[in-house]
Amino acid sequence: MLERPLELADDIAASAHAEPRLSALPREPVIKIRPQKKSLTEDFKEIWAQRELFLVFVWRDLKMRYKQSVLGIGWVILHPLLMTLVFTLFFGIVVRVPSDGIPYPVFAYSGLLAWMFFSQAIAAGTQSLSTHGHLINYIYFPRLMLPLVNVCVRLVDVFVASIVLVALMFSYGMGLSWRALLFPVLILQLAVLAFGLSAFLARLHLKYRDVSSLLPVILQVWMFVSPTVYPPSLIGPNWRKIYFLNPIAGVIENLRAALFGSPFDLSALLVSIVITIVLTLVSLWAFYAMSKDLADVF
Amino acid sequence: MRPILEVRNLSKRYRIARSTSLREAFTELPGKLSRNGENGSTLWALRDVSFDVSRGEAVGFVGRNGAGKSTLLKILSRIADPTSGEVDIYGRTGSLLGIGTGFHPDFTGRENVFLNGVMLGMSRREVRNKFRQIAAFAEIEKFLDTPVKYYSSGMYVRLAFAVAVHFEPEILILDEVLAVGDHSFRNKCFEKMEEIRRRGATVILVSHDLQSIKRFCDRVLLFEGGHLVENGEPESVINSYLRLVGQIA
Repeated sequence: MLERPLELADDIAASAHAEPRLSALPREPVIKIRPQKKSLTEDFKEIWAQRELFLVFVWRDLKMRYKQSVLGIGWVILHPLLMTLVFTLFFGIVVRVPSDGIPYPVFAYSGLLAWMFFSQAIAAGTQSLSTHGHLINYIYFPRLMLPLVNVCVRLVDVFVASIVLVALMFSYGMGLSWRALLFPVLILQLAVLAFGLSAFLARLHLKYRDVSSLLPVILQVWMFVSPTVYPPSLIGPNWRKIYFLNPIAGVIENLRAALFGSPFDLSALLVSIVITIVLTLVSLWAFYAMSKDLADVF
Repeated sequence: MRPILEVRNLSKRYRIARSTSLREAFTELPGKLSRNGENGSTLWALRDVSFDVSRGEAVGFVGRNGAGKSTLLKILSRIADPTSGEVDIYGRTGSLLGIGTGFHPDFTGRENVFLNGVMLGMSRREVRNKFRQIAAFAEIEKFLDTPVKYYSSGMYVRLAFAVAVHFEPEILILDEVLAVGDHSFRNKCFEKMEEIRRRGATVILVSHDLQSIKRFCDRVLLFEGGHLVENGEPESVINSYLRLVGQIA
């Protein structure tokens, strides 16, 4: 897939180019340029129209990673595995953090997988506009495409890392039920939130370079207020309502329920979905509010 | 005949943004509030520009640096939004606003042809169909699987231009890209562009190479300080430009 993605989806391509060159000019302009602001729906229509470019961007990012490091895509597996090892040693063995009856390495890997997908999508997405200034000044495409491409590339990572998760579960003699089908849906929820937040942060990063210094700290705190390496059952009942205002908490808790057969926490899931939608919409609104003169910034 | 491109009363104002760090944003906040949100200064890169282009025409833009030529090309390519005015285009455009800008140094020549071809607006199938022609035009067949960071600057430029000239939109927009390569390669590019025009394409180009403009364009527009000051025969407009910059009396 990394080698020849250009073979995919050929049939969507050849449409517009076949018409005879000297046919009458169209009645309506093909392109209307006006000073008005762009909207989300318009941009998504345009991203769809430019889906060839979108796929080539995704292909480029995947290929680049593969080329620039020796282990290439192997890091996608190794990184969460190494993190799991570290947390298993310190939290699982030394501190003996409980893990709701699930083997600690499996417990931690499942949480870290989801968290690392989310945090890396945001960290890389925040740079997605500032590192592509040359392209923004070179070709026309909706700017929103860049954070979206980033999230899609990270989705490929999380897919690969999920195969390792299943292998890990089997090695501990655990099985999967139909409930595991909810796992990719919850990952998609994280993807939506990561897309919205990183679009806003990427735009903010163009104005204030401080964002990239502050972000790692925020993400580190965010990780520890999420049930990545410990179960939310450690949180006292008085704090649970506040704890689950963090949308990641509801996702990880229910993601584990989907994988390991523990009961779903539906109220936490509902809160998480509502907050995800609100945060994503507010972020995208802020993106557009700040984006009036995006090409002018470079 | 109806024009293929209509530009009406187009203006573009740039805000010269200043603060780039949060610290500056906070320290400048009181000043900003008292100035009613006005930040920095503004610059009119284009002022009330109107013109038409007919199908099949080759139109050149000339003017000094900062006259507004590149801003206009950016708006026509939809990279920048106008502040006021409108543009209607009755065909597909393809813009080449830099040579090799879309190239990735770690990618091979072959991969970059696909990457850049799609960026310019071709479909992957189109690139694949024209791949041999592109490689032959660039004269780099032997190095197709070498990362372009190992290319000489000549090879780099030839490959970038080869991709661009094989993209055949109805309206081709070129910014200062003809002054590349050695003499024989440049001739080859011109021949290719003549061929594109014979097939009915419209070309809009910016160049400081007045000889190329004179040779290629049917009409020339002269810009100065964001205004369109002259629009006519290449010979006379280029003479006005030379007078403007003090090259001839």
